[in-house]
Amino acid sequence: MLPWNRGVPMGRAVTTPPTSLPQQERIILPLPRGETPLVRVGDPVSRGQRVADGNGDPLPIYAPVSGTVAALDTMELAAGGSCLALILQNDGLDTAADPLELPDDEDALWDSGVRLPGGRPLAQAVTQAAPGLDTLILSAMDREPWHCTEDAALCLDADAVGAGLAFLNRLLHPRRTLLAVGAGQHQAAHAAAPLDCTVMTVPQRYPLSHPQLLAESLGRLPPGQPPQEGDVLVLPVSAVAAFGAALQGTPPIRQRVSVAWKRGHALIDAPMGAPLSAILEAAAAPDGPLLLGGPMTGSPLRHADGPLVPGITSLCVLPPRRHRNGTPCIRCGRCAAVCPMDRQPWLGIGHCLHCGACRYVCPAAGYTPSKEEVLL
Amino acid sequence: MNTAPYIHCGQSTALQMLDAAIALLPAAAGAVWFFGLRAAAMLLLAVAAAFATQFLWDRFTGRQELRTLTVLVTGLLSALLLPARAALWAAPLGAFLAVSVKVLTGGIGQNWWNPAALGRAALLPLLCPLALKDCQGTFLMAYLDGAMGEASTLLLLVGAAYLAMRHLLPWAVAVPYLCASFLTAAVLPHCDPLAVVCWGGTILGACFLSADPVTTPMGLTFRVLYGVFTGAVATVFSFYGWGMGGVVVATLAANTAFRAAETIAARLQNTAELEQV
Ligand code: SF4
Ligand code: SF4
Repeated sequence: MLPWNRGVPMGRAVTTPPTSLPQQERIILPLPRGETPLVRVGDPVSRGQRVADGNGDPLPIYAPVSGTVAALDTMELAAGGSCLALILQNDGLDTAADPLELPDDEDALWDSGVRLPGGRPLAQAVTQAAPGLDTLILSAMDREPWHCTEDAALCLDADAVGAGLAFLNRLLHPRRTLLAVGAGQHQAAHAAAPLDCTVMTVPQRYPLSHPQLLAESLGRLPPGQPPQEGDVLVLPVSAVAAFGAALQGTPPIRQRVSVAWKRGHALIDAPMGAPLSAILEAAAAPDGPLLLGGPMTGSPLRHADGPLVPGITSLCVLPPRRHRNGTPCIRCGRCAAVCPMDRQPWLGIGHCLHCGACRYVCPAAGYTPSKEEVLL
Repeated sequence: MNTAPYIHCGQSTALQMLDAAIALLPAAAGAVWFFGLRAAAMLLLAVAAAFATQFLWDRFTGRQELRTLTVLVTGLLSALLLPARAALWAAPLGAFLAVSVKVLTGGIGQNWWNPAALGRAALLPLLCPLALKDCQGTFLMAYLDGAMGEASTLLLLVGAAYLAMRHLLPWAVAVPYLCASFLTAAVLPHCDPLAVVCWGGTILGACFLSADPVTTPMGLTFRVLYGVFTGAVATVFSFYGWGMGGVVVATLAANTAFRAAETIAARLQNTAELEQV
């Protein structure tokens, strides 16, 4: 058994070569935030063409493939509700549009259409922190165990990260620019060496890659203060890489998705709008309950019929769980020992990151995992 | 799978208790080796009584505590804390009292007192009032010093090593306990500190009675203080002839004092935090 007081082991943050998803016939681009479509049904589109526009949070959307607009229809969202969606019929020719040209100011962030993992626009995070930024931290550490999208972004797209970083440095003038890598991410640390930033090594344990904890440990943020509102900005390298690629002419039309299950993981390079089921198939993932995000804080996904949208960088397939009721708290204190916020979870006071580390180690938890399910 | 996290370290209360019971096995085997079949019978009777008592209480209260396997540890300890020459019925009676008082004081997690220590202490008046040295051989408890479990320090240390290997040994209690025992013995007249620290009863108190997560304080400060207090008091009591009884009485006193202190501290902290918000 693993020493419980070491937090949750990160385990697999090692990049495997990504697999490209085979060409998809139909590409679905949802417009959930009220983006304005710029094309009509029947119009031809080329890869990289701007097909929907937005102002503020609805960000522009670019066509991931070339073909024609087959329909502009309402679709059900996996989270409930429905929205308009552009449906593209892929012609398989992969005709490229002119490279993207972005202005050399803050608008570039909005125009690029880049979203952080989770779906928040990159531009929003940056503009909120813009005045008087002290420390810019790029994190090449994955937020959750099992996944490796951040590691992959740095290992495979180091020059795009460099381009994005140069732009951000120009825009924000931070006093310090740091790059956080996990202690085990040797390849990423190597790839980061030429970048214009200081590489900081952080122990590779689960909640430590949380932006707030990185900001506290590297940015010397006073504890308990949310990072984005202070003078520390923590950005995942995958978003900076996507933005750097947009500056170099390629809008965010493809995304690497880490698919992980108990005994394996795969990195799939997929166009936006491809069905998640195709991504799971390409990853050769086993059947099982699906999670959006990582195993610690992910949210259940009822089905994989929906398309890949910006913000989805990781999927989990869980083993079937054996249910069992927990026991009363036996006051072992393990929860408090692993809590990164020095919280006493049984008192329920203090600031909580909702990282789940306390429940991960709790022997009285509401279930006993089957033996096969015990991590790694 | 309803809420995050969706993975778990695999530890459960039952596994933890099973580990604690495994750690007691060397001492139990030693007891059988030294004291023969009588010890084996006492161990079996105590464990059986503990299981039966818990089973009946579970039926009665509707709770499901049997599956947490705490009674396995309680049963084993109830027998090991008794001298081999105690009456055969003392072991199951101790286990019965231990489990019953645990259930009546709130059940696992809520109970303030270490069940095995409590069961043993409840037998003290039956076995030997005030347990003075000259009562040896006169009461039911013919052999006052020398609980079965304390017979071999080496075997106890093997069990403690197992606990440490499974990350279940409460270092923050055990080390201060041993230090306090040593220092107290050094202060007491005609008392060999080394002998006290090497006495099986000290190891039982420091590593096994304190390994019960429920009745040992949770915070580091309280744990250290708990170790110091229990170690010192247990040494004084055993020095004046209480033997194992001294250790259990010290443990129970510390249980009471520290649980009360913890509760008060938590209340205060809670109020302070609520006022801040
Ligand atoms: S109390 Fe909150 S911050 Fe602490 S370990 Fe639990 S979920 Fe994480
Ligand atoms: S909540 Fe769980 S981890 Fe925390 S003290 Fe209770 S049993 Fe231990």
